[in-house]
Amino acid sequence: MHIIVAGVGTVGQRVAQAVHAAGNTVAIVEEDPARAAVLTARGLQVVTGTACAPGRLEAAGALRADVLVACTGRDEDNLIISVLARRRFEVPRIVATVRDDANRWLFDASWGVDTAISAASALVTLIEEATGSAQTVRLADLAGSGLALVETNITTASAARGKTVADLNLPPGDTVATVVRRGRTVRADPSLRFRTGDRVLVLTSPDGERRVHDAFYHGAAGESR
Amino acid sequence: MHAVIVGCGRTGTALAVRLDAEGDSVSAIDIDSRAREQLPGGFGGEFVAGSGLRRPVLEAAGIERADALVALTSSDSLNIVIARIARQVFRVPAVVGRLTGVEHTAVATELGLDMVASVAMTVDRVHRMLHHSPLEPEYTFGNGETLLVRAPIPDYLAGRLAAEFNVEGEITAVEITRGGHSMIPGPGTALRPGDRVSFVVASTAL
Repeated sequence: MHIIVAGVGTVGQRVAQAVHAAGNTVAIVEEDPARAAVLTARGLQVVTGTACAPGRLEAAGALRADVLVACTGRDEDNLIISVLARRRFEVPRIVATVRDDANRWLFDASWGVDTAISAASALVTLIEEATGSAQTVRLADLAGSGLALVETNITTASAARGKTVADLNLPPGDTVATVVRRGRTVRADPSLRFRTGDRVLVLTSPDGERRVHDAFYHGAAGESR
Repeated sequence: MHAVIVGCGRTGTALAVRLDAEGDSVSAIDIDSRAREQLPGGFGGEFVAGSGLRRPVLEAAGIERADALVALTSSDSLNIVIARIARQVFRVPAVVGRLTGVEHTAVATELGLDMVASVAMTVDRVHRMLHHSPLEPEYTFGNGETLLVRAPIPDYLAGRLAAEFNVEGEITAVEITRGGHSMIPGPGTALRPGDRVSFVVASTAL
C-alpha cells in the first residue's frame, strides 16, 4: 500500500517507520525543514511544506495513496488535510489524530475522517485496562467495520458470574469474541460459564460499551447481584 | 443583526466596535481572555473567552441566532475550519474569513468558503460584505472552476429579463426564488423586486 503521513512529530515518525517496516511505501509531508531533512537523511520520502496545500499532497502521491494519516499537532490542520485528501484526491481511508478531545466532535465524515484517534484518551483507555480500574473498557474501534472491541471483567459483583454465554441473551449486534481465563484464551461457546477473573472480549457497535457493561454487570433486567 | 467575531486582534476589535456602534448585536470570541481589554469601556457587545472550535464557546456567543460570522484568528487553518462550522453546522447566512497566506486558498475554494486575503481585509470591506449580502458561493463544482451563487436582486434591476444576465461560458441564471416559491427562468421571465436568483458562474468571471 502507499501511505501518506502528514505531520511527523513523535507519533507520525513512529507511524511512518512502522508502516514502512510492514512493507508499504510511505511518503511524509512535513512543514518543518529541519525535521524534514532528518527524515530524508534516513532514506524516507519527504515532501517539505504544509499538507494543507493540495500541491504537497499530490507530490506525496495522494492520487494513488491507499491511506492518509493526518497527525500534525494541530487539530485544525488535520481536519483540512483530511478534507482535501477526501474531496480532491479521494483517498480511500483517512485516519486523523485528535490532539484536544474537546475538538473530537468535528472529526467526522463531513471532514473526510474515517477514523479519529485521540492520543490522550487512547492512553487513558490502555491505562484503565492495565490497572483493571474499570469493569468495562472500550479498547478499540475497528476501522472500516463499524465495530468496537470492548473488554469486560467478571468480578464478584457481576451479574454474569456463574451464567453461560447463552444465558446472557445478548442482542444480535453484540458477540462474545473470546474469553481470557488465567492467561489463556477460552472459546466462547454458548455453554461457557463465566467465572470471577474472566476477561471477556466483546465485539459490539461503537456506542455499545454501556449496553455490554449493563448486560454483564447488572444482568438483562438491569439489577445487580 | 447578530454577528459573531472570532479572533480579537486589531481588525476583529475594530469591526466589533463598529458593528456595536451601529446598533448591531455583537459577540466577540478570543482564546485569550485578556483580549477583552482591547474592547472599549462602552462596548455593548459580549465577549466570550475560548476556542472558536468549541461548540459550547460558539453557542455562548449566540451562533445559533447569528446572521454573520467573521473568522479573524491569526491562523488560516483555524479561520477555514471555523468558517465551515458556522456554515455547515449552524447555517449562519453570512460567513467571512481571513487568509493571511496563499497556501490555504485551494481548500477554501474547494469548500466554497468566502475568504478574503489579508491585505484586502479591511474593516470597511468586511462591513460592506456583511451588510450587502455578498455573493456567497453555495456550492462548488469540479475543482472550483464553476460555482453556484445566490444573490438578491436590487430594486433597480426589477423588470429586466433573467436571460439578460446570461453570458455564454461565464454566467447563467438557473433559478429564481420569489415569495418562498422556486422556479426556473425562461427566456421571457422578468425579475421582480425581492427575487433571489441562483447563478452558475465560472470562477474566473467572479
